Amino acid sequence: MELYRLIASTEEGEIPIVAAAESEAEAFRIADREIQHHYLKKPKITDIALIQRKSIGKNGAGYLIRPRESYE
Amino acid sequence: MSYVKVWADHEQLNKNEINKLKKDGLSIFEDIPKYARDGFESIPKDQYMYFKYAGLTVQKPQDKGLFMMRVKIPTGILNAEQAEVLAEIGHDYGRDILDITTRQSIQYHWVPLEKLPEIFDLLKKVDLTTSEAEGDAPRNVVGNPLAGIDRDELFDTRPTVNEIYRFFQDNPDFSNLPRKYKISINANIYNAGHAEINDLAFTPASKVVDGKKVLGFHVKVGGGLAAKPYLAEQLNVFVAKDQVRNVASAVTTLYRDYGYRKSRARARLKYLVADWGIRKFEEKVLELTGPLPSAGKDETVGWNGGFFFGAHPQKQDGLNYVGISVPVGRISSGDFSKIAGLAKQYGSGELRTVNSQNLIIPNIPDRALNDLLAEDIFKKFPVHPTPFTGYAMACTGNEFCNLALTNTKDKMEEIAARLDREVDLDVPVRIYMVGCTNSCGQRHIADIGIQGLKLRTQKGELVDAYEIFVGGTLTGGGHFNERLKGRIAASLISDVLKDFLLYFKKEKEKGETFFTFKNRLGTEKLQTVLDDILKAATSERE
Ligand code: SF4
Repeated sequence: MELYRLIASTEEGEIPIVAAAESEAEAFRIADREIQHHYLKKPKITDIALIQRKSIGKNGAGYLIRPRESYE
Repeated sequence: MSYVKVWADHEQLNKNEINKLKKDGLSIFEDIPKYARDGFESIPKDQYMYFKYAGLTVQKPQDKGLFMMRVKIPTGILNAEQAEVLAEIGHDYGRDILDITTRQSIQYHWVPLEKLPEIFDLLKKVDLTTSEAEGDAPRNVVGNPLAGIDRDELFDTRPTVNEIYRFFQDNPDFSNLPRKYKISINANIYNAGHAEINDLAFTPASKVVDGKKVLGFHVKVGGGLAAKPYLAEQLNVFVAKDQVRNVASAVTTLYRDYGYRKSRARARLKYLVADWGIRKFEEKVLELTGPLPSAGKDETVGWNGGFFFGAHPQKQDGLNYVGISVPVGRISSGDFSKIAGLAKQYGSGELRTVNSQNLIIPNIPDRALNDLLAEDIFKKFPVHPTPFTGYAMACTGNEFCNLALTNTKDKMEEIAARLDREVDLDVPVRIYMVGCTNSCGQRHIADIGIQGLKLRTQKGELVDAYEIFVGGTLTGGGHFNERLKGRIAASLISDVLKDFLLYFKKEKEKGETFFTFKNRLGTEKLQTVLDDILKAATSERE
């Protein structure tokens, strides 16, 4: 199992999404699911990008979510 | 053990730290012969981390008993015998491939466990080692690949590099650091040692002492790239050559004893320097070294990106060095051996590795230079490379790295080759590609950085894609490149870069570098340029 960090781009800006999944394709499916769950009125998504992966070891894994710096 | 591990009873040590207290990393060399005999299955998984101290990483897939192996080459200098042994190892044990790394080391893949003892013997005979090429220890000492022969060096740094390398190498006092530790020692006035991205860097400096000009070093600490990049800061000290060891030992002792061991993500020296501030760090260094003169005159005048292509006279009259391009640092053992052979035939046998992942043959007499340059091998590895291929770099990428989201080396070569055919510029543009946000390939300091990701398009396809970053440098203390918005599918990236660079060609002033151009126009302007190119490229495809 891996922990994936994704970013959905919308006209209003970027939405960070984190997904624990067995594969990249599954991570995208989870991202879709979470977007569906979250919004009453779904924003127009231009694309979804997977930008980082970490394996989930015994000690777990995580991401700190905040706006990216210009060099990131 | 001649020191007390002051952190031993800290409550919140990370798992690696607890393991390292039980067993020192360097002790892996005692275990490897047994594992090599008994097979990969005999290695308990919790022992994998120790292999790092022998310069080895278990290669994916993790059950095949194959390793990535790195050999240190201090300041990049190899003698003829060493070069030949490195080629031989690639041929016999590494499926014929050698990678030159951005720390002037040589890296192999697919090295079988059972062959490690033989390989270690071969390396030892020629005074080379894999020890501490990885792991939480002092890594290869990088420096001026032209040390001792350089018209642009303040002085010959070979004795200093050798002293520092030997002092730290396999020294049990410094084999348990909180994290990797990178030292640079350079006196080339164009910052060939990439000072600002090292944990500890000695840079060329001079100072007038008692009316006499003394040559020595300034010191920068706490640099490093990776996901949280930081440029090293300068201590207000002048270090004479005979004081380098004293200072290096002090900085490393502080790191060993005060560096953070709770989370590996905060363990590099840069976090300690950022928390303490540079002045407190300096005070602590001086407590250990005793008084040192304050900083003198900085002798660095610019940054050459670590590129030394072409034939140039050395500081020794009648001798020349020849800088050779090795695209993305990858070379077959046969070709490496051929180049080592030429170094012997025409020069002194010495061969040098460069942190831009290239090679240098030094010590070629004037009379032999044309004959050397006429050799066939330079058709494949040119001394005047086409500008994009010659100045491109790439990290390992998804071929061997578990964290990678995309291919890097092949893709970078493909893009550079296309740009070479279709964009003709009067200045080189350094393009570095990495396969994820960790940025091992020094993406942050590229003119144009390319970072891999996976993209799902509006049509629902899952494709490799890239983001681009503009305007990185180590000139004037350094500046990280800045991300432009827009994710570019792998199928479009070379088209997009071509148009982007054609815009640069059209708008640039004569001789203007990409970095100056980016500063003149500003990132926002370049963003609108990219937006337009992307819009056009996508609508063409639709
Ligand atoms: S930058 Fe990412 S993909 Fe490239 S070698 Fe480093 S961790 Fe692997």
